[in-house]
Amino acid sequence: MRDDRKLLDFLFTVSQQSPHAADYTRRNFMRLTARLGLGAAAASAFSRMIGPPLALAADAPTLPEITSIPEKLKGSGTVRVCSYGGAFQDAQRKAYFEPFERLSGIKVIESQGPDPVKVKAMVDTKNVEYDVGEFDRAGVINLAKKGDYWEEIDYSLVDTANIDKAFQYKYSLDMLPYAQTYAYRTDVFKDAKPNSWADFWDTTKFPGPRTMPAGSGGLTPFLEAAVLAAGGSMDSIYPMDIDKAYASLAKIKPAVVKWWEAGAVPAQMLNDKEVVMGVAWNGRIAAIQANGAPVEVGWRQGALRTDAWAVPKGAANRANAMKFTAFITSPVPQARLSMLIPYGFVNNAAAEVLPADRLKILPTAPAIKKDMFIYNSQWWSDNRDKVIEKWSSWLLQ
Amino acid sequence: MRSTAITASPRRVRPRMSHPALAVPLLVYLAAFYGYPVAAMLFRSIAEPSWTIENFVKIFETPVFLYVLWLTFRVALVVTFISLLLGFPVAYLLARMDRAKANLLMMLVLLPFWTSILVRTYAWMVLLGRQGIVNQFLQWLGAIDAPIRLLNTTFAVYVAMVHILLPFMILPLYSAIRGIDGNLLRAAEGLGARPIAVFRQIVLPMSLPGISAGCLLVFILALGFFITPALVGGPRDLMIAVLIQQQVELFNWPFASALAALLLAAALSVFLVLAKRLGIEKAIGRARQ
Amino acid sequence: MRDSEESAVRMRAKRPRRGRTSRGLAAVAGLVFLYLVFPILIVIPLSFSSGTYLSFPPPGFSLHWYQNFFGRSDWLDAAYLSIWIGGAVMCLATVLGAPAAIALVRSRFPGKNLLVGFIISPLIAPVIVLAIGIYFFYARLGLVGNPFGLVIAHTCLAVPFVVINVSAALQGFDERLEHAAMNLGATPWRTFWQVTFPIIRPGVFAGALFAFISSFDELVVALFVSGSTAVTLPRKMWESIRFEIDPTIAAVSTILVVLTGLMFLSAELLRRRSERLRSSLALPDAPRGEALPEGTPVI
Repeated sequence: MRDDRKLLDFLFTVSQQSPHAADYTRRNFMRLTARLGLGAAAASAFSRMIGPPLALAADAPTLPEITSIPEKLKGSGTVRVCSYGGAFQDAQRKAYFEPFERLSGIKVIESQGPDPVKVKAMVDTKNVEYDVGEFDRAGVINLAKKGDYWEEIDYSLVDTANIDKAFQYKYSLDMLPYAQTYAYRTDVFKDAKPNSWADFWDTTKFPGPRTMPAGSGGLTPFLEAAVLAAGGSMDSIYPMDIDKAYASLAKIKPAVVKWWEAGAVPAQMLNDKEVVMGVAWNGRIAAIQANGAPVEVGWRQGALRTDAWAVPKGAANRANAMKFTAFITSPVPQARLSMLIPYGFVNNAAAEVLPADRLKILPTAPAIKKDMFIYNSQWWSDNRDKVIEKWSSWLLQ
Repeated sequence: MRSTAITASPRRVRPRMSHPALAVPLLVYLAAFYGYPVAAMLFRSIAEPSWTIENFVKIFETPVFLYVLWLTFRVALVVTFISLLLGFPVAYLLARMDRAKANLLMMLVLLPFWTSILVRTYAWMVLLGRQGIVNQFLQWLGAIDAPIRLLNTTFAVYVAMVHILLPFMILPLYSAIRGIDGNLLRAAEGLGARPIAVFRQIVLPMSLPGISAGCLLVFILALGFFITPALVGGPRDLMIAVLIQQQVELFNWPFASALAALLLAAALSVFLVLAKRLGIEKAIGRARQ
Repeated sequence: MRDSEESAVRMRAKRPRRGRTSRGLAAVAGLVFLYLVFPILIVIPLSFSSGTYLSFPPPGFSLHWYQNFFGRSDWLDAAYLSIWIGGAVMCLATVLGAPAAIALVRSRFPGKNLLVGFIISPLIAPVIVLAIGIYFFYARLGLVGNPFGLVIAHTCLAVPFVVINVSAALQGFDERLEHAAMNLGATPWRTFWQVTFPIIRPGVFAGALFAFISSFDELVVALFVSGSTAVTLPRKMWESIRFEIDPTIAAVSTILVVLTGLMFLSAELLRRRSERLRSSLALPDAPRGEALPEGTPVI
């Protein structure tokens, strides 16, 4: 017996295609696979008999059409876009990725999970994986302070007539106002409804598991909620004391079963009753409500935030990314998104295309907006690093 | 038998259908695309930012990282132990059945074995949810009144990891127990030994090599587990592979390299110690006779 | 051989009495089988669910998630890319691995154990170690997001499967067949293609198949080096689980479970063919020390 054979034999015994392993199966596996195959075939035959699949969501609204785009936004090749996935990215695809592809001739390649920290790594190593990403403005400013990590937005392509100056930044262009707030199961909390962060923190009055955003994967923990839960008022949230905010967040930590990194997670968990209350982005909740989930959004003390398109330095399809950014912030694409998922718009001309009953339910509607506070990008761009640095050790404490 | 065939071949100079040089392309390939990148990565852990062991010191000085190391080892140990506990009865039963029946049942082990880890992890997300089948079943049984939290807990990590790794335990156990001479067991039984005694005095010692091979595999694979804990684990179930991935994303490459070096060292030392100590080679010698 | 003897003995021997112990054992084993198989089967009904997310039992029947898979270019592109990469890995791993296996099984040289260990080590070392090593390497070369980068990396992980399978086929191989061919005047090249290869072919094919599967199923390396432009099916599934959590993943899983079964089946058929070939071609053992006379026809 030679030694080398022993090693081979050993690995044989243990590795996946061990001769013994194959030995057991013989013709029996054939039977099983045949059955599996038959099952699938039968199922598909059955489906043909019962007709077309059920409609999954509420009927799609009629969308304002886009028939042409300025010549300067046309091009060729591809643009790699990174967004947040799930119901939101589905809406984005329909609202503007598809029209952009069709009208500009530039193919959109999608991915998920934009993260400024990752942008830094991508630019430093010259492996820029996407040409344009959706970031929270604070993350863009924060990274811009560290060095030359972003391409300047080409405002010559953008029709800024109806876009507030506040939305225009050298390295990014805001594209999406939305609310980050709490949502809860109405079948669990039938009588008293949570109406503040203090209620969210109150596990006696509102018992049950929660979910909240993580401080990793490109997101930041929701310290504002912690400050408000500890008795702060909406006009004096900023500047936040990071340690105090974390201490307040620690009080709800035992009830938080999942710190999410993707917007689809709180929606799924609320939908499947995995949690009874959670911090979520309002559009995601609207998507599960449309499917009949007994979930309600609490607007009071929510945060009104804005996301922005930004282009990492050295992106291979920089020019296409700029055209993409300009197209998406134009009125009709903005309105189309607001029709599909209740998020706001940055181009005021979009309001003219949107029906009044739709405008009423957007987080930017005056009646809703007045209950919320404006998320402070400036504070976050200064303190983002400190907050994130503390995150993992706080989580594992 | 094989050795007889070889020694029985004519003893004269003859051309052989082989040359060591045939292995050269593969070795060059692996050296370039596997050996070099891994070595460079390990090197990075001590050579960046400058010559330093700071990266390793940082791991052992920071409570969070120590916690992750400890958790990883604990999870790997528990998973190995449960796999052994569940795998042994199955392997024993299969090994003592006639071959035809054993073959049929072995399919139940092999089907999950060949199914993508992602699929299996996803399945557990479905099963363990608050409205999932496990909770529904427990409620139907009357064991619980209201759904309990199973998903996003360490328990879920154990359940899903054992599910994925169990075949790695059953297969070597099965071949070790199959290798035990059935006459020995029947003789013992015939002489009136109680099943427990047969098990303790014959089956267990003789299947020890299979046990160590199985434990070795399961433990090493569990140490580097990445996908499952990230998807079904609770907020605190951060295993070393997940930590490495986070550190890579945070661009702490030297530190990520140090963690990877530690993981690799742990896996290799477990492999070397167990492979030598627990007589795996002897087992193969015996099985092959 | 041993096994057939053993079962013959068992057939003659009286079956052991089925005591409480063995019934208990059977019950435990039954539960373990349930635990192993049930989760995989549960994915199948879920894939036909009309609900979004993970609700079980499914609220109704729908093929929506299959439509989603077959109708969305990102899913199909990912599937095609995985098949393409798997195919390329299969070819590369076989071309590199099969000759190496022949060399390793048939020759002796110092340090051979170490080399075998090195070649097999991608199976034992945690994949994440290889993954980040390759990621750092590719980051410098600009290979992140390049499908060829994935082919190169996956080949490292797939090669052990080819080496192990081909080695196995060679270990049952009677070298005297080759000597016979060469004694009859065949060149080594011709001997290889007409004698050696047909016999080890099932081992080579099985190794190739496992190489394909290992690449097709690989996630950890893909997670690091596929970027946003070389998204493989497992990577897309991972993103779907993390960012969408809808039953499309169940539909994909069902398709994969069925495909896995079919692949496994074909590997099994190959192996059985190999055994038949080997037993029908095996020469009777020649008596010790007695050389076959020159030119003896071997049929």
